[in-house]
Amino acid sequence: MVLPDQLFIHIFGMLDGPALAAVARTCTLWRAAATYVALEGRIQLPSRLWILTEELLQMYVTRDVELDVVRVTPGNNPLATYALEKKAMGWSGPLDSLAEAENSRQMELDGSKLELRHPYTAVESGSSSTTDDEEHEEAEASGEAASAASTLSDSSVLSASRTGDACMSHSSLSTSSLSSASSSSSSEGWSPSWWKTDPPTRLALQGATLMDTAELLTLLEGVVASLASLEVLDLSRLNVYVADATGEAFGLSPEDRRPQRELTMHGGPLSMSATSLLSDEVAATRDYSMLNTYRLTEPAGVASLLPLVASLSSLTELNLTRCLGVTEVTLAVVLSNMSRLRVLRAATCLEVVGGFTLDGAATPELEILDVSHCYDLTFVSMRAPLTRLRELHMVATHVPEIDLLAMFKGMPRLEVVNLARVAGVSNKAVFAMAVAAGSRLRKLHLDGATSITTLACRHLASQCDGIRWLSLNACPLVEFTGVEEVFDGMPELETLDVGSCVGFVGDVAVMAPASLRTLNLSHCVNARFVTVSGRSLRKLLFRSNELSKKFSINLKTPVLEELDLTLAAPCTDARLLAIGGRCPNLRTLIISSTRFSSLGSFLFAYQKLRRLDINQCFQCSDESLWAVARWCEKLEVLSMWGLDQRISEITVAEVRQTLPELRIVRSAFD
Amino acid sequence: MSGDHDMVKLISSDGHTIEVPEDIVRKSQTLQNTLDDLAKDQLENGIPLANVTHAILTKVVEWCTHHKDDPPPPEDDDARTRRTDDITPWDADFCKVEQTVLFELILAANYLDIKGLLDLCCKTVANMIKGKSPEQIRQTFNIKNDFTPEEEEQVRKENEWCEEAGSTGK
Repeated sequence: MVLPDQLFIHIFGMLDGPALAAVARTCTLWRAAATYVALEGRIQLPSRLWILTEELLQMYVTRDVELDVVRVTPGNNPLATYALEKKAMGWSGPLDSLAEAENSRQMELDGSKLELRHPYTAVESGSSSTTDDEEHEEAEASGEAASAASTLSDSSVLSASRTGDACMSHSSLSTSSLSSASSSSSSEGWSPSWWKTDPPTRLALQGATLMDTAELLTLLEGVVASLASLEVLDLSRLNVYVADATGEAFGLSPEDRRPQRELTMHGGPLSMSATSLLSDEVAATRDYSMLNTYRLTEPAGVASLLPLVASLSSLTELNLTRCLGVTEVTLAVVLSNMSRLRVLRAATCLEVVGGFTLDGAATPELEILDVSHCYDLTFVSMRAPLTRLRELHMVATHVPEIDLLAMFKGMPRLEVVNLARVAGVSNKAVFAMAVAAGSRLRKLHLDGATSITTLACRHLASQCDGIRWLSLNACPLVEFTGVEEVFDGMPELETLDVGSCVGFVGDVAVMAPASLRTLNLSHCVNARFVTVSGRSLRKLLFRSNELSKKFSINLKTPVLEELDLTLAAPCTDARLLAIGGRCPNLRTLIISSTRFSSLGSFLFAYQKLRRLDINQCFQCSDESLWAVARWCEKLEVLSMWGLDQRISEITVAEVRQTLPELRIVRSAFD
Repeated sequence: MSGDHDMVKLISSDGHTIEVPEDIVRKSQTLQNTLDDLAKDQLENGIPLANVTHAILTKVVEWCTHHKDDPPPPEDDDARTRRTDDITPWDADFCKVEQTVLFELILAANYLDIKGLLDLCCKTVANMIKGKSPEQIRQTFNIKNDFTPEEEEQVRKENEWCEEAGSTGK
């Protein structure tokens, strides 16, 4: 007869030292439970070397117990490793051997983004996935133009582009079509005559593929020369095929040359001129699998860049996102020459080292500035106020506090501010921003601000009563009283993210204001008794926490529609039953990787569910699926990956017959 | 809210339905929440208890009926929980059952969230452990020793202190 670990722990907690020692010597399972009891501090132990089972480990992770060495059985269970990593990310335990400083800096510990199965996919900067999505959408949106652009000689492109905008996302401009285009007006470079009569104001070459850098430059110079009215130029993620002939120009030795080898230079051309390309200034690494690591050794002689930028002085939007070769010099030139610039996006320009000067006199119209993920950005100086700046994004830069203070003084119109993981964010900086922005501020990210305290919440609550979206994810010094002040001071708050706030200690009673729709309380590992009430709360994330005995969602949350309890432990049948009763409108329930024992014992309280996630709940069996079929007639999506060994195909087929509309997700990659 | 003598239908995992007075049912925190939270019509056909069998459910009801006038147990009273010698004769008698039944009672009490019953059964098990050697415990609970000889030696070493602590008094 096997009991769940919690019950063994309950029983062993009643023993005295000698009896516990005897229990620890009986078998592996009992030893683990006995170990846990000992770790709980009920009985002091001198030795700290223990074997923990996966389940115990999960429970352990939600507590403060500190171990010196942990051996995980069985094997290197990914779940257990993940749990340890979470623990080791510096939230409360030492475990230095497992915590790598780099990881803790880069890994996004936002519960809503972190994938359990692949904890490190979140390491990649969030922007890459979003931009890819954008790219995709854009490609779809401009599908007509893009496909038309692939054959420039085709007359259809002319009509498609005559509307005023030219977009060539993802198109592949073949040499032949280009040459045919340029041959028609070879003397002027590549500038079709129709652009002269009806010039486009917007040109996006995002992700376009060209055969040859020389041709690209011809294209650009031709376009730029004839397009004084161009306002928007988007060159991000431009791919250039290096034809055999230009291999030499890139300083490649003959044996490295291959026809059609791809060289990716995100937006490189802006910072290159024909001369710099044709000289030996460009080197390529030889690892062809890492195309994005091709770098320019001496990018962008300012001299060659200046004429181009000068000729683009009419630009109002410039997107240099992920451009290699864009340095602080490029930004300085852009900021001092493009006086009509409204939008400058230079996120993930990894070669920006040092900083730049913002001058309201040079760029009086600037509204949006995005320098996120420029990791080596270490200062920004402020010359004259940017009176129109609405959005400022500086994720993960190293701008110090003193610069932030000066910046915010000159930014009176901020509405959206993203300072996630910015080195200099402090109480003072937050105060300066709050005073400058006042009630205009709508959206604020302060994720990972390790030095702000509850005081920062007080500043925000007293100055910025218009905030709708606030993220304090992983701000370890913020205490729960800060949240209460935020609720008092921000009557329009709709979304609050306080995941991984380890400063919430003990009892946490969230009384959400009437405006709040979404709340993330995941990974607040030091909170014990969590109560959530709110009349209009729609979505609650409560992942990887201990569902304490008193965890409840007050009956005043009648409209809660989505509840995520992934990895929450102990998530017992009884607890889930109680929750179901209290949230009659629940549409989405996510209880992946939790340890309920039988779906049948609580699902009848969830009859309105549209979506149910039970991924990696290895205790599930055919019976569980039958319970789903019986109680959740309105279910549209059932996600149950990782359970192929536990549930027979026959049952799945039969359930599909019973609920023909149901989509069953059986792979994490669906 | 309904009167004291309303009957509530409970359906055990093996399909038997039994009717229990509501005040007895309310000894279970789980079922109390269910009664409070679910609408009347949702309860009409009875509350299914997917992991409690008829035999165990009968035992649970028996215990709840006997203890129906007990004051609610104090929350997290550590000292009381740690004591295992405060079992009343009726309770001791109640727990004189086969080991499997006892364990199933623990599971049911945990699921139904009946603190008094859970503590009682756990104390009974704890008393079965106390004062025994590891080998005797294995025999009592029919546990297979799955340690390798090396591990066994390691565990023994780790726990030596415990035996000393025991001899010098608690």
